[in-house]
Amino acid sequence: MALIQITNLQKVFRTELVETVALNNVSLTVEKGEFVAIMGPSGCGKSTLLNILGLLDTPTSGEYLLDGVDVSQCSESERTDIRKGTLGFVFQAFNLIEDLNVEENIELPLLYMGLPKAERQRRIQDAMERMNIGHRAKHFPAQLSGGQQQRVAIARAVVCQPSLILADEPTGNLDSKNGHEVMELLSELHKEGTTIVMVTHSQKDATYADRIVNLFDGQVVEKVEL
Amino acid sequence: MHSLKSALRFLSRQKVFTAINGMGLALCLACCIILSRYLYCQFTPDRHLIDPETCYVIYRHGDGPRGKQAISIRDAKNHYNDEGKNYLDQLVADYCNLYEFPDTDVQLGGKNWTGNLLYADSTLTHFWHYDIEGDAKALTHKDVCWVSADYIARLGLTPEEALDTTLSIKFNHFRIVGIFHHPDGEEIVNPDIIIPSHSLPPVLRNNFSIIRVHPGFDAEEAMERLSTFGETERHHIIYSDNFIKHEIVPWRKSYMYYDDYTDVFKMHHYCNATLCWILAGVLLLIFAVGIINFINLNLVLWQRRQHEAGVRRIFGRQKRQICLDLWIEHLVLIAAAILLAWLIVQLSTPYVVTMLGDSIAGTRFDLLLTSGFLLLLPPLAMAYPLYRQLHANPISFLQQRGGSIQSLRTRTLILGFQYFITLTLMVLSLWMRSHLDFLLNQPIGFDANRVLLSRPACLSELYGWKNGKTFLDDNREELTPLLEQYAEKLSQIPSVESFCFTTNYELPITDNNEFYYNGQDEKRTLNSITVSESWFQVFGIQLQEGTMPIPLDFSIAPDKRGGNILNGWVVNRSALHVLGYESLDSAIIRRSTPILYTASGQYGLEFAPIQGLVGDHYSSHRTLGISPCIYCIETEEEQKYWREDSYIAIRCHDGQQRQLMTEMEKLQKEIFPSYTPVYQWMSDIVDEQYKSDRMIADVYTLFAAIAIIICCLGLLGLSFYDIRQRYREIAIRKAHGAHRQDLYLRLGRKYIAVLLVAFVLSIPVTYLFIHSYTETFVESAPLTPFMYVKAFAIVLLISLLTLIYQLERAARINVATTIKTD
Repeated sequence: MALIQITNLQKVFRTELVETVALNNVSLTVEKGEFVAIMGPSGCGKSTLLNILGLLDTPTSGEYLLDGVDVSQCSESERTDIRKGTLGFVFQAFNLIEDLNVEENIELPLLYMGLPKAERQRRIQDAMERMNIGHRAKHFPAQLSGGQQQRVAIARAVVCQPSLILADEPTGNLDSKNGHEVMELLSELHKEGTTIVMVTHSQKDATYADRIVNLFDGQVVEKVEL
Repeated sequence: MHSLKSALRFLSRQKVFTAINGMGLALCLACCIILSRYLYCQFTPDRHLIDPETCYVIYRHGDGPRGKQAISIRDAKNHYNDEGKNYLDQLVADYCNLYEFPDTDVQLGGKNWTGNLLYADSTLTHFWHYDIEGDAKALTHKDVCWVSADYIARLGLTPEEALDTTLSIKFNHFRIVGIFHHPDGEEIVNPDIIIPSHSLPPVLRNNFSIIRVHPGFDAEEAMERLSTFGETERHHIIYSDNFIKHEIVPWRKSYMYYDDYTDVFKMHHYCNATLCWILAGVLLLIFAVGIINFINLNLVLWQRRQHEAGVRRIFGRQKRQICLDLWIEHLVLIAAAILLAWLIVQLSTPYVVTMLGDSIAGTRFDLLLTSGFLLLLPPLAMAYPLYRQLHANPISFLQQRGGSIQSLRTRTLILGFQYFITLTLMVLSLWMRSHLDFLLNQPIGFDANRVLLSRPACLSELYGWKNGKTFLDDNREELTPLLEQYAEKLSQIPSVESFCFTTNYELPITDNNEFYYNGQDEKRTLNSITVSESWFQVFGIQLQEGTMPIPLDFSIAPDKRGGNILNGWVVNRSALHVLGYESLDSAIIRRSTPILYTASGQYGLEFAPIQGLVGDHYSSHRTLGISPCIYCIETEEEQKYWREDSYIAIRCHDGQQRQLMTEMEKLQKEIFPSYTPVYQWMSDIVDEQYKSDRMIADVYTLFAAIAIIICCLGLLGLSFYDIRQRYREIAIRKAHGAHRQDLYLRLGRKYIAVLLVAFVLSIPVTYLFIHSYTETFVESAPLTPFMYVKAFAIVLLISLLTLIYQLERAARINVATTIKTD
């Protein structure tokens, strides 16, 4: 069954002077447990698509079914509710909160899910152990290397056990060794059944995916099964 | 709890911003607390008044020295026919007659003191709620009194020691049966001692009533109606050439009802309404500067938090949680600022008391004010960040690290507005200072530094009432020989150059009378005073033209002087000008009311020549200009008639003020040991006139300085953020050869431009304000371009000093590291 089904999705950015079509009638289906890599040149609409898939942005037109529910016209509040516990995010720039330590950063989505403290602690410990960052629990982001920060970001993404992880160039800010480690982690998650949609420029990273979707000028130009 | 922890952690991590923002807000709130507490006291006098909306007082407007005064209900009735009296009775539900005797000699515990006495009807407690220890119903008894707890404390007695002791006021004795406590805040009448009014003889001066009216009373309608009774023309009741007008004023409003008959020894308190409105304006400006600064810096801080807000929203933070987090964060900072503000208020209390001339007791208003700040400020400060968090796309927060150029421009514009207010306050402060210097340092036309006003003994009606007799008999006989002796001894004191008796204890002239001139029916109201020839000598007012007329001598019967009791007048130069005379030749005037009333008729109504011309002098506040004055000359002997209640004006030799005071104290002990003398240097009386001007100048100076500090804190916060944001740009510029001065100019010019625009905008605003403020002034200090330049230079200098550290730090950054890491 399809976890994500988008049909004729369009996103247009308008300013007083120009109108930019970021996504032009994009249709895409992602099955549960699938690992999809979205590729394409800069400005082709990859991140816009990922933001819409992650309910961080709304499409101008078109249909978006998430787990069979039409979410394209949801209000901000409804989208927030869906995001909680369902979606996990990994960003190129990590986007950790500098004022929170590792443990607290990972705890963030659990807090908004309203889980009891003991349960939160259990899940945090699990996530940290899994990402091998338990020894850095009380450190702040500024005290971590890029690879460690990304592992914290992945721990934060998986701690709420989401059915879908959206990764926006997760290795873009990392060296090859750390990049490889991060991709191994994502691959492991995928093997455990988590659906992953990843935007990447790296052909090497894309090989971890089941399928590559190529975008160009806001349109899907190619779908490659690996 | 999580929100609180998060807020505390954020605020402690942003130490510099928290400190700058909290300090700016605390300073602003401290100023607002000080000013609003003072204004609250001024706008809510007599808080112990029962049912204040129904309490009124009747004022009489007329000519003469007591141009406007509160009067008794009986006095008001005397001016109406029976119908009018009945109408007044219908209006009044209750009343209480009050008799003020300020600075009266009191004997208590074997010592002499002075105190403010209030004789009151037993209905006093229907109007005011006094907290009384002892007999609360004493006003229905005789020969008893209540004494204020403050007064007792000033005399060094405890309430237990004072209760049941006897207090003597000359020939009368009163048992202290109650100790009353003054209410918080201002009191319109502030007695030290309250005595039942039936201990007084039936007819007395200084009597007025507080009245309680029936519900639905309309003062305007009542005055309109009253004007139809008796010999009236609208509110004006005409008596010969004079007019009298009654006005029914709410009791509390009478506090704002400035009385131009200002008695320095009076116990009736008035509020300076102009000063209050000025303070209210300053309060608003300081509040605006502080709050704008707080919100502005808060928004700068918000720029830094956008990223965090975005991440939190992506991971599911809901609206309610966003509101709560923001509210707690602001509440913590604002609560800390309020605490600091109260600390500043407490620490600055001695200075504030000196500046505003009043100590301010803690009241429920403080709680209201604090709660108001706590309730209103967080929503005000968090409005924009909340709006942004609720309505903007969270992903946009992640994409935009730091502030956009547009938002920084907005911040800078807001800073400009702060500068505008600061420069406005600065220019006003400089002008107020210059105006005060002008008021205090310009010659006033007479020598105030060497003139001492002394009242060695005062006999008013109160003291004279003994065994049912009035004062003019027994006490005059008792006092006159002593005053003769006093005058004799005074003339032998080496430091005394000259002296005279005078009934005026303020500036020389306060009396108004109408005068006919040109031998026609034209008349003008001018200041006039009856003085002896030596009065001119004492005050150093020189005769410039003509001669002194032969003084009035009432000892010669008017009919033996051919009907005209007056040989001539003396005027000052501006009076001559006002009367339309070029010189003394053929200049004649007459008073519209008689100078002397006797059983055989009224005298002094004939035209008499102006014989002498003296120099101009100021007889009141300088802003009112030089008053045209007319002098009626009496013999020294005639002045004796008034000696019981009059003052002695003594001119001492230059530089011998201290010796004079020592001699005066000796003389007092010798002649009037049981009386408490009153001494006032004329220069102090002149100074007293400029008390509110001094206060206004001090207020502007202080608050302009605080506005500069707040502005500079704002500048510090904004530039700290702005310049730090531009480190990468600075590094690139340096790499391409920019020198330190180029960087200084590039980084600082924006702020200087903002200051310049604010300065230009402040010019018309301050000009218009000062123009309208001085519109009614005859004389005032000029507003010069130099004041503007000075204000700009001061603010610019302080701002540059604020910026310099950050500019220097920015100019010294390591190019390689910054380009790599920023």
